[in-house]
Amino acid sequence: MAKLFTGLVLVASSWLVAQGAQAQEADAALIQRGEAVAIEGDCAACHSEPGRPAFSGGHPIKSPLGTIYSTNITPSLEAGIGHYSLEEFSAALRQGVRADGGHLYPAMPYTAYAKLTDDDIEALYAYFMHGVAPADVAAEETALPFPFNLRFSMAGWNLLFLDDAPFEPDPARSEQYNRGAYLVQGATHCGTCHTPRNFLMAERDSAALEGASLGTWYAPNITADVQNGIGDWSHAQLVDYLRTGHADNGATAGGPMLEAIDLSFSRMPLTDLEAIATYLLPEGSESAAPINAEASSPDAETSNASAPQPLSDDDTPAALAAISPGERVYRNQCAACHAPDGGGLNGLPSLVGHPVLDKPNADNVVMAVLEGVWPEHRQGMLGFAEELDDFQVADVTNYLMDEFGGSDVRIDTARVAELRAGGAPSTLLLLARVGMVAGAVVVVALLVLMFWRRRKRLR
Amino acid sequence: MVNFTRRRVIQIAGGFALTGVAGRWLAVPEAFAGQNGVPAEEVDDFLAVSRKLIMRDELDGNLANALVHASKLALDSFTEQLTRLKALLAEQPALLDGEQLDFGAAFAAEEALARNVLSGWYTGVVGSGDQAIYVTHINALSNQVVADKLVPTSFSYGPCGSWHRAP
Amino acid sequence: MYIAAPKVSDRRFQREYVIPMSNDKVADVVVVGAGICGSLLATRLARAGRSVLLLESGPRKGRGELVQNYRESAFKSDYMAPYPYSEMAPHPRFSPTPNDYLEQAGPHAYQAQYIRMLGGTSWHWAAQMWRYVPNDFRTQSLYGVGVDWPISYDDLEDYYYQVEVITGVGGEPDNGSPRTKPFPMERVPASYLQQRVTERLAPEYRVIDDATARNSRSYGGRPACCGNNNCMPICPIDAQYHGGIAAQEAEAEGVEIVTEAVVYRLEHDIQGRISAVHYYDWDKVSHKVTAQTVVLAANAIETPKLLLMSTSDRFENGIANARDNVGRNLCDHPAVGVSFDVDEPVWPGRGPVSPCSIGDFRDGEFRAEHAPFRLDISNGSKVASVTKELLAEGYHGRALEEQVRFRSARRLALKNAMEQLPDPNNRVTLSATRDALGLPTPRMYWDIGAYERRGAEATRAHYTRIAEMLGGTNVKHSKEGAFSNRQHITGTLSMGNDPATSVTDAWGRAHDHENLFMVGTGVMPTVGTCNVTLTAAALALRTADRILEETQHG
Repeated sequence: MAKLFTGLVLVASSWLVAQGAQAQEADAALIQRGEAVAIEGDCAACHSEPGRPAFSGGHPIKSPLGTIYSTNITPSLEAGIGHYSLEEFSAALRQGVRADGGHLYPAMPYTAYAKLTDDDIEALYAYFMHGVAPADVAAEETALPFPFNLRFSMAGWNLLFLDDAPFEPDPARSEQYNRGAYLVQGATHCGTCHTPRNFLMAERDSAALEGASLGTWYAPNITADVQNGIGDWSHAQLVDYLRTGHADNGATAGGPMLEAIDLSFSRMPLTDLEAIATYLLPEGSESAAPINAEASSPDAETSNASAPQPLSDDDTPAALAAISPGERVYRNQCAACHAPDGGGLNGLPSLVGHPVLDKPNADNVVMAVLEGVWPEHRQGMLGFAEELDDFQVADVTNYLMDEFGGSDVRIDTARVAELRAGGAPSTLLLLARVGMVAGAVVVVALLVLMFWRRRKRLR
Repeated sequence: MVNFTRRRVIQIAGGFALTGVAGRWLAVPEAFAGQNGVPAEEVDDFLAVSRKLIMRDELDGNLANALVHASKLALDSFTEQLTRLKALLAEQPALLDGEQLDFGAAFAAEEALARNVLSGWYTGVVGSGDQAIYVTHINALSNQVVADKLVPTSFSYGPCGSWHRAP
Repeated sequence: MYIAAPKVSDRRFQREYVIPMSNDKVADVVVVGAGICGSLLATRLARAGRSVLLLESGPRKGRGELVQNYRESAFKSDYMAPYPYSEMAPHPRFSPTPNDYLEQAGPHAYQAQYIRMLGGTSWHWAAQMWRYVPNDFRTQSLYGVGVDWPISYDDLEDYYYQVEVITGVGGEPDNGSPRTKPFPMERVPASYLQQRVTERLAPEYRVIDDATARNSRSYGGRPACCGNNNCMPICPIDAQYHGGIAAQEAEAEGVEIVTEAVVYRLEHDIQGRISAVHYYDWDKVSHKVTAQTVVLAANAIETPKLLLMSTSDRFENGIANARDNVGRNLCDHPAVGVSFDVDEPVWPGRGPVSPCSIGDFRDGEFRAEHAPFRLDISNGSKVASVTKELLAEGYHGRALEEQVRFRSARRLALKNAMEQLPDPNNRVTLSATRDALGLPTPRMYWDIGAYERRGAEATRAHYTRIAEMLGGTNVKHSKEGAFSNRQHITGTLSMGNDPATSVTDAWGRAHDHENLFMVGTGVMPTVGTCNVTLTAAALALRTADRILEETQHG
């Protein structure tokens, strides 16, 4: 009996294994495509946390309303999304609704993922069900203050702000342009950071990609506007930037964009980056210089510097006695790598005319000074939050804006203090609470009215 | 030893003030407030002598000015010695024919100044001990003449590992 | 990434806005000295929930100011010159003129260079983080010289690793010190100089990457090395770990740090336990700290000084000194050096200053006869030193320029890290001089024995051979009979099992004072053949764990 049972189990399990193998083979291509979509969508940025299993969540996202923790999206049945059907998965991605009917906070960029095609959703589903290892670790609970802890309030928000129609290509445009549009509006969710939001935190479509503050870092205008946007970038520069975090116009990525480049853009196919450039810089798409992957690779960047550049500087005592407090900080802290004249040093970035200095505010300069710049693989820059006080940070930032950026934009110590503390507190919380009170007053008034009318009728 | 006399303390404080070692605790630059007041003809003399000693025509006038100012503070009777050195080199240009200076016992003082002038340009420091004065780091000629191979100390050579390849 | 912390380092800010505290302080543990060892220990204790007070005699200064002081210094070859100096907490000073803080009473001057400042002396170092070789712990048993440690290499192996992880150490794994886990940091790429020297000396000599706490990638919120070639006196970008970072981490962990707090007396109770620590602030106002446990981490000269100063009727020779061992057995690496011009340009000055060495002579039967040693190969820029040399030789004109290039490109310098045997006569005592606070200054006695002299001879033979192999000209050995010290100050608080011959037990505890511990290089009874910081830091963490264990229910 026992033998028979064992035999049955063996037969059954080998059948299962065979079935599994077959399924895996059939799905391998789909899973692989899903992984590519996951990279485009940069799922790992929020759902993977160093020191924890991949995609097991728990990454804290600081929103102006409080800390939101990302969830476990591994196929774990108990802690993850293993029990999700394709439909439920799609609803979470495109409508922000969990399998249990609960609403997601728009920290999850479902308003962008709503643009994803059914094919991509299916591939992504296959990847998260079969290409990711299940991890049975529960992520931290998110606890936002009242009224944002009432997740159903998001239903009303979605009604107002969610356009969940999938992307429709523009037949008048090239395939490359449409691919770029699909990526930018959908998976790569550029607007999540770069589009300003209204007072209820919804992206303002009328100002798409025109730049917005994330509270600390500023996501600049990336429209093709020459004055305010990136209209003066070439295709090749934009592609290089997305691929390496560097472009030969002096741009160097920092903060969340650098993370997006390290985790997402740098791992996407070159054709997709070209498509993004074509969409974001449509006028130049015809004349764009061909992309030379070799010339501007990170390795090439260092090998260009075969002989050191001689330093030029007046460091005589009389000259040093006359410098401003900002220049003093610059010399002591920054000049070692960026050179006394700001021109950079042997493959270390120049700050003269650096695009970060050509922004409507100096927030990103301050953020880079405070936090440093930390590419995943290449040379990092030290942060100075410990070393410099708010006055020194403001002084050196204003020195950089003026001396190397030729900008009139300045920052004051109050803003530096705010950025150091993690951004300005949101007025949304106040508005929402006042709004709730106002709402309650209206409801009470309605009830009174109804009661009064009923009594009138009864009479 | 640590029992400093008042005079010694003043000397040390003076040394700090002149060298900039004291950083922010003492007002370093005051000693240089008068740098612009260095007479132009003195700088011209200094440059003329320097060109002969260094054998370069193009020398940084601003640095020359700073070196003269420091030399007047750090070296005894600098101005008179400079005049004599200038005259000596004009009269006996052959003194500079050899690779190494040797003016002989009769012109020991002039040779000492010649060495000080060279030292100022090449090391960026004038004088020694209590009298030593910082003048430049980056523009010291010793750093300039190797600038195609090395970066002055404390400045970056390049991203990590860039020193792996042959100079 | 850094988490922003309130900035209270500005002294003016502290004076004007911080409410003056009562003279008395209470903590679970008071640590005297905020160098790398004291800070690492304090961090560990605070992380385990202990209230920790960390007293530092020197001031708090930022890296940027030190960089400025260096660049604008007239004394760039003096590694002490950029560091703040105060009569209130004096340390050895050499420029513009020596202050002779250490009185020299022996046949060889012991010119220690240590910094009294928050973070301590590892502000200026080459981030060398070597493990001892296992036999270093048993030289008496194996070779009949020196003393055996009360602990073995195996007792320290895990602690070595813990410090390597905290500080980010990388290097050649096969360096004589066995490892159970790989280095946490990938090695910094070798400079061209290192590659050429390695190739040309192989296979007769094996040149290896030093073990260093130097980043080759972003680590611990600090960037990779950019080859500023200024590890000593100050790395401008914090690419190497140092005590200033350790102190910062301690503060972030909740350790209360008081700078400009000069401890001058340890008070004991009837059982001999240390009942209070007294310190002067820089205005000479006295403060008293009481704590369950007292840890001295004030370096191997200042800690013995404090013990010797703390006399009482019961301990008339000072705390922990009932058997006259405090301050004795001073060891360092009495160094001899060589320099020569290689027959090809190798351009020292590109990359870190001290990247590689020869470790072939660290251990062997020969240790019964002469001192073992390691040979350090310098990659520090030689531009300044050859320029001074050429100016002294009277060069001028084009010849001067050509020679600066020629010699700067070729000058190679080596020096040894040679083990000195403990000798009770080599010691720190108190001088008759008083500093500005009225505290005695240290007096040093240092002699070099026949064992080390024979080691120096062996070293010189290798120097000659190495110079020959590299086509060296202009070969200059350091002066015969002269030895410089290498700031690897050990032995003065030696740990041992026998109270008759040691100051501390195997945990760094004073034999006669149950709640008094010592950390730092002073507790190391022998100096080995490598830089001593890693071993001292590993011992400090081990002592921290011991304190936690013993005070668990306290």
